[in-house]
Amino acid sequence: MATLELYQVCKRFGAASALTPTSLQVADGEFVVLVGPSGCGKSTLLRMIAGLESPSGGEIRIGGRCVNAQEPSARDIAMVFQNYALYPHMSVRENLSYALKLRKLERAEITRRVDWAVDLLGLQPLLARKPGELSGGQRQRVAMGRAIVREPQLFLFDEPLSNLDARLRNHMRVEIKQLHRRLGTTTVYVTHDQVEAMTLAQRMVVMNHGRIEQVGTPEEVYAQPASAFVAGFLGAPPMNLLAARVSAEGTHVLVEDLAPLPLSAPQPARAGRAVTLGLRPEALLPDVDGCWTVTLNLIESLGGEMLLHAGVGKQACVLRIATTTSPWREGDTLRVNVASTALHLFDADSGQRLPS
Amino acid sequence: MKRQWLRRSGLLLLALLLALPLYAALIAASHAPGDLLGRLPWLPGNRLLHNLRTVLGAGLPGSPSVLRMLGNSLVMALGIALGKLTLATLSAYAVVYFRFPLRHTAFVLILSSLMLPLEVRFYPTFQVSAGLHLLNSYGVLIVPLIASATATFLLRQFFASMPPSLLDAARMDGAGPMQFFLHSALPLARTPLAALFVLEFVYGWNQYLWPLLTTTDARYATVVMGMQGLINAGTSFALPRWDLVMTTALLALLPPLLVLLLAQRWFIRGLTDIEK
Ligand SMILES: Nc1ncnc2c1ncn2[C@@H]1O[C@H](COP(=O)(O)OP(=O)(O)OP(=O)(O)O)[C@@H](O)[C@H]1O
Ligand SMILES: [Mg+2]
Repeated sequence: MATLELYQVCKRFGAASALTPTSLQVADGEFVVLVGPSGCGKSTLLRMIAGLESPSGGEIRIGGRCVNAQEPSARDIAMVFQNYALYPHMSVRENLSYALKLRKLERAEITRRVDWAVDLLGLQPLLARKPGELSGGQRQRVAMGRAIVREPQLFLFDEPLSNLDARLRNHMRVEIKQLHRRLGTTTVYVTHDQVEAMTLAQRMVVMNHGRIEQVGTPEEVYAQPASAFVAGFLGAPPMNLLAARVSAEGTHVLVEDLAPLPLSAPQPARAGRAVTLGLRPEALLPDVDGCWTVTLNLIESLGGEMLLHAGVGKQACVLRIATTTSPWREGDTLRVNVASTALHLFDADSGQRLPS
Repeated sequence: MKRQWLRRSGLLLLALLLALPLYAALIAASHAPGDLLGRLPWLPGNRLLHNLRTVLGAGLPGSPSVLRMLGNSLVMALGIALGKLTLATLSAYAVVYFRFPLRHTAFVLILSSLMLPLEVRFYPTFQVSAGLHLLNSYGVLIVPLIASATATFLLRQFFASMPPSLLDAARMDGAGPMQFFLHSALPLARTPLAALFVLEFVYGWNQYLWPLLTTTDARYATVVMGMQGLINAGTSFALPRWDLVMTTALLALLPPLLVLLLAQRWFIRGLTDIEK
């Protein structure tokens, strides 16, 4: 087990920049999730850590040692790929032991480690099969087995669950989390699925366009998104982002055609300027004395709760209400209240969070 | 229903047409020379085994032993097929997995040689072989023919279609270039390799002009090329020995057929699903 440190690591493919200089520290034993939309550079960053891609600049340290010049196999890392990348012509047992054989470990030691991984992941009945004869979830498990038999300092996962169906994904997610509990190996996990990110991460790194937008625990990132991008990326459904303006005195925020909302932290420096107002779907509460009137366009029932798609002034937003039956119908108008502590303000141009 | 019947009878007709010369050879090979004078009997005779024994034992007077010619053909066909596969696998592997200067140019050059039939380069190749004192040897039968654009191209396509993450996984596991080649690339390519082996074996076995040009010593005669001499030898008798000539022809047909039958399953899979 080891720490992982990135200092100003960047990557260019020809003229195109895939990753702007990025720094990140991962503590020993920590589970860090890189999350972001497709093409934001998550895989590129992970592959540079693995040594499969060489950085255009910066330094990568594992356990305090700079590994920039080291071959992937010398870095003592194991990686699980999105398409599993099992060796199709080898049996499950051979897949598990291949890396150990290449390292010329003693036969007894190889057997011990393979048996241990087989026990841990329940692969016993599959040992003689070829990857082509396994289901997606089984292949996934073998891929994890192949990673853990190496007893590496660092685990890398690149969207390991995205080829599985929803149920299996939930199941494997829990298995990965338990595996990390048991082994305590430092892990970097890439996903574009925010549920995976929120549930697995001890710390999550939200990326966008080759940059890190925010680093923090899932709770921090959810409660205090550092930018409008992060706010709009996390949560299902994500935070409502409304074009708004700070009042002339800097004490209220104004959304067109709606009543002003008082700010808990006045913004005198931004008085009269445009901002983006962020409201979580659960922050808008129906209330007969509410300050805003919204029009319901569409009602979606999720069983235990409802999503109300509503027009607020000229803009649209989503409300989430914990109720099983809706007293409203599409087309109704509704009064809602907004808690002043639930307001998130972002700079309209840069998208950066404004202190509140 | 009717269309299918038509199609089937069409296929049957074609098959019969193709089988006809073979049948004629079989008839000629199973009769005494006297029965073949000016006519071809309709039904096979009973002298096939006798003729086989004669051909394989004594051979035809005035021509090299058929057994030796078959052996030469086998050496040549195996040498060419294995040589082609070795060269093609290595060059396809290099072109796909190594970044070296002019890598693309190298591949285009190999590919463009696909357009040149073997006969076009007979003269220069002959000159080079003669200059190296290779004439009349097994070397000259094999070495100049073991470069194969077709096999290189097919194997390149195969390697290029393997998922790149396989290489990534192997690199993470600590496999070097040769280990990846021996442990992963080669075993995965066994279907296309088997198919190519069949093709190239038949190609090598059927070489006619090149052995004729480069070997004058009867010790190196191959059976396909030696057939010509056999016909001369066989028809120089008062009673032409077409029975023995045709027996030899049948023998010459057998090995490629055998290879094809043995590798049929692989052959079809290798040509149809290049994937894996
Ligand atoms: N080998 C390459 N050559 C050129 N450009 C590349 C290469 N690999 C990645 N890129 C570019 O770098 C950027 C980041 O790619 P990357 O694969 O890291 O995205 P990602 O965040 O992993 O996306 P996804 O969620 O779709 O996997 C993309 O714009 C991509 O087009
Ligand atoms: Mg990716």
